[in-house]
Amino acid sequence: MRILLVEDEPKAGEYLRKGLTESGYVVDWVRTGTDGLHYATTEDYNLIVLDVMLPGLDGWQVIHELRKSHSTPVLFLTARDEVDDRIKGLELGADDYLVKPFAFAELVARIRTLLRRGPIRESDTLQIANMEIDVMKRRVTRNGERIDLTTKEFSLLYLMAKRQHEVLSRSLIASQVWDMNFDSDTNVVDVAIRRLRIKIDEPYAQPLIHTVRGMGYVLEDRA
Amino acid sequence: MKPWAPRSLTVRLALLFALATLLTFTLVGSYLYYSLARQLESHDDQELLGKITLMQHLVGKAGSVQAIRNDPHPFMDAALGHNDLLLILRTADGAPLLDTQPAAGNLPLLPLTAVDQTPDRKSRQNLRTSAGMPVRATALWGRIDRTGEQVQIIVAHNVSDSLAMLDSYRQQILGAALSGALLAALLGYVLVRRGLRPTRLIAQQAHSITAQRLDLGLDVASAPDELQQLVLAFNGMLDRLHESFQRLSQFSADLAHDLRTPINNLMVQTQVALAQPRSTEEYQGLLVSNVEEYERLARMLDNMLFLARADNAHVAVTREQLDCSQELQRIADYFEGVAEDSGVRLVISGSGNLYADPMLLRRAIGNLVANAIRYTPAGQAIRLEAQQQAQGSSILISNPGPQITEAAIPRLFDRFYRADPARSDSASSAGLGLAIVQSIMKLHGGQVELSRSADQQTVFTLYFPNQGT
Repeated sequence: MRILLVEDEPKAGEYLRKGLTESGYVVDWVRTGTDGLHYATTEDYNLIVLDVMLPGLDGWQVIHELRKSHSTPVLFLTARDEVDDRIKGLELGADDYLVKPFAFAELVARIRTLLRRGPIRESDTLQIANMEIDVMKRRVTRNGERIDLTTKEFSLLYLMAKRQHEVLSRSLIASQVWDMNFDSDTNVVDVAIRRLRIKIDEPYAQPLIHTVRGMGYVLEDRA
Repeated sequence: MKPWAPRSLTVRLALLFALATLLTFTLVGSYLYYSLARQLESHDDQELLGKITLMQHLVGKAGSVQAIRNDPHPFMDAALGHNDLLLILRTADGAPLLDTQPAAGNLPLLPLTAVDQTPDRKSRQNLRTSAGMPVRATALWGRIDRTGEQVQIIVAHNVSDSLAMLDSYRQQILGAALSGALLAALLGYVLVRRGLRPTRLIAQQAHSITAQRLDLGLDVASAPDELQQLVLAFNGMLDRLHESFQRLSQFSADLAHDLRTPINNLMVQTQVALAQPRSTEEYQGLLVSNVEEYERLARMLDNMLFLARADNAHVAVTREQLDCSQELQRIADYFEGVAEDSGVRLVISGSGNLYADPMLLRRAIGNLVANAIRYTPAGQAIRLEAQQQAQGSSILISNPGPQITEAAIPRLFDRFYRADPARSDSASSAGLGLAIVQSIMKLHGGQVELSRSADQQTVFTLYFPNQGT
């Protein structure tokens, strides 16, 4: 998967290139809108990460020109998040919009969502290591032993299982599981994860829920 | 401001004074002028009529036309000493008999009044002689008693003196009117300036008011009655500005202070870590700790931006009908784990609908519940309650716990305010939570109130008005 990163700020460009490369993407980084537009129209990319404030052509102009010929998905990065800006970005044909400061896990999650071809296939059962989730019956078993979960605990486990290997940030979890779309100072998500671990991981030798320090949580089989 | 009107009130009033004076003087002057002219004229007419009568008499007594021609002396005598009197006698067919002042020139023909009538007003006319002398003249028939011959008697009075007098009088009136107007303008200017001195004083006072001294205000006592209202309104405005300004200054100071601590932590602990080679675990620990600080800063910025936008009504509020108990249940689910960790129970009651923006509603209730959990002792319960009212719905969040002091209540919803100043650990909260609750309620046209119930509970009431109210 090739990503074009258009970002004039050297520090930001450097860490984004590094982070995305380590997440398994091939990243081309350019620093001006003019270069960005040139690369976007002459090379083949799966996704463009575009900063709004750029010298020369700004992000709005770049996407305006780009959309005349290409439908490459575009993810905007901006420090401004006035409602008008969002609307303008989406009207010009942006596919998503991320406001600085953002969590890196959040950026990767958005990129994954944009690169996914079509919606996730909701399967009836999920199998991760020796854990099985029956979505229809809302039943979880490990080693064939039934585990009782509350509604929200099940929603949390299902979210993580559905997006296994993805690091999920706390705000994304809060928004998906409880529909709470603001960052609170409370450690609600940490507490919920801890309680889920007590039921899912502690009785068993191999933990499935892992903490990615400073970023969030991921569910995967690391055996 | 109309283009023709001068900007200065003083100048405008002075000019209006001048105009009024000019108008008055002109009217009065004209009246005086005309009455003087009438007086002079009637005086002249008296003389004219006297002479006419005398001439008629003399003509009557004369022997014949020929006798008059031979001896005009009686007539000349009558006109003697009257340099401004012209006496002309002509025969019935217009041949000249006598002219006392031929140098004065000839007179045009005048309508002649019959012998036995006195000349009326219409027969007296203002003319000029052929030599250009202005005269008031009248003519009539005289009859010689003895022969019955008729003679034209023409008497003219030189009015050049009167005219000159009227002329100079007119000049004087004009001069008086103009100088009066000028004087009125000057006086008006001075007086109006004096009269408006209070406004200049007020302006001077206003000049000395700066952002630092907004509380000065204007001196109401020194303002005249007409300006009292203005001064009071102005002072009211200043008070409001002062209050906002104070809040803003306080907010900036608090903000700087609240940013200082986390940034200092970040800086120092990173520098300490860099001072020597460390183990990987230590580096990782540092970075994780840094991320936590950064996240806190980001949250603080988000909250501040939210408040700033809410102040300017730049937050989109999309209200819908929400089910109270569902919403409360959602919040209870969200805080369930945290509450259990603190040994606190969440109790829900009430039902019905509520008209609000779901995101903002959850944020407001969430902030209050997070606070309640923080202050409720273990083993106690927090109540989340929905109440329906005539015009809207209320959400009540009550918890037992330490009392909020009366003194703290008014400032409780201020930004960065913490009831306990010593508790400046920005780790748990930035002190923006309640300010955000209040902003959200304002955006909904509702309100948040803090009270204490009979059983010593701290109760926050969120009131949401219904749709269309």
